[in-house]
Amino acid sequence: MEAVAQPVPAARPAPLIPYALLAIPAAALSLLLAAIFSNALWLIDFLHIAGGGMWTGIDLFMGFVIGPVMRRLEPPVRAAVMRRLMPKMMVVMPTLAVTTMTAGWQLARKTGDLAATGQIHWLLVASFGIVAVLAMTAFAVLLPANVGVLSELRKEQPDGQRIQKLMARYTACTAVQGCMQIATLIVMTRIATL
Amino acid sequence: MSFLRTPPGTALVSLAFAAATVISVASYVPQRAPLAAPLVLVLLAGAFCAAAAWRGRSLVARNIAQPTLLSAAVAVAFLELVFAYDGTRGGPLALLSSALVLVALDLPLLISTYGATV
Repeated sequence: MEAVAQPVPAARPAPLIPYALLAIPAAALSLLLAAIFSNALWLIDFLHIAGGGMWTGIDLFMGFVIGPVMRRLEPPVRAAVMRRLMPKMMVVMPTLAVTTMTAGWQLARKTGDLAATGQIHWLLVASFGIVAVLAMTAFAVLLPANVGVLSELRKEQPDGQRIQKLMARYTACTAVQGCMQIATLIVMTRIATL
Repeated sequence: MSFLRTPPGTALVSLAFAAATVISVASYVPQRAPLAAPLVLVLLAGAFCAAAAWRGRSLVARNIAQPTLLSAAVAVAFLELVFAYDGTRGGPLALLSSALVLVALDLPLLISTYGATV
């Protein structure tokens, strides 16, 4: 009897983000839910400060430390670093943003700052605007550039020019993010000391 | 200006109007916000979102759009939860919810069509 060659099914492409990484947002958002429903002021404060501190710190570190270092690396080395870094950034940064914003809103509500008038009210409104600019630049440039670079790196023959173009946008945008993060620090520390 | 005419650019404009809607309502909480300006903003956000969906209908990368839609929906659900949990009701909540739904639609549209246009 003659053996018949069976067609080999095409391998499913690996997901952009490894599923194991989803444990990070699952844990953080569960803690956030617990904080909201338990009305635990300390936990809400902790999540806002820890989340905001990490969000700001990572943004500034990526923009002013990792960014310049990456630009000096050889393209294959840079590609190898990005292939490992991007999936983690795509999970960690949105999680920190949601945790910080949600806990911050709850904190302002519980401490009475939302109902305040005068300078605190306008500082809070300014912080909403800053967060909007941060989110817009993140979602309009950083995240699409991340996804674009990652998709390109997964191809058999990545387009180096396209990756460079996307990374140039990414780097320019981190400057805006850095300025907004410094503005956030100024506004938040001012609110805390009024 | 040319980027703003592309599907991701149109989605970005919608996102900006939706964010402005949320800020304009949220900045009055716990008082009731005047609803005329946010209503205009959310209608503009909806129009631009529809335009982005129409312009980008053949460019959407489903493998990117689906996880982005899921993560945007989770993020928006948290914001919706705190607004509702803190007692925002009626017109302001309806406007906030509409704007947040548009945010959740704009993000996957923006990100999943970006690769085909840039």
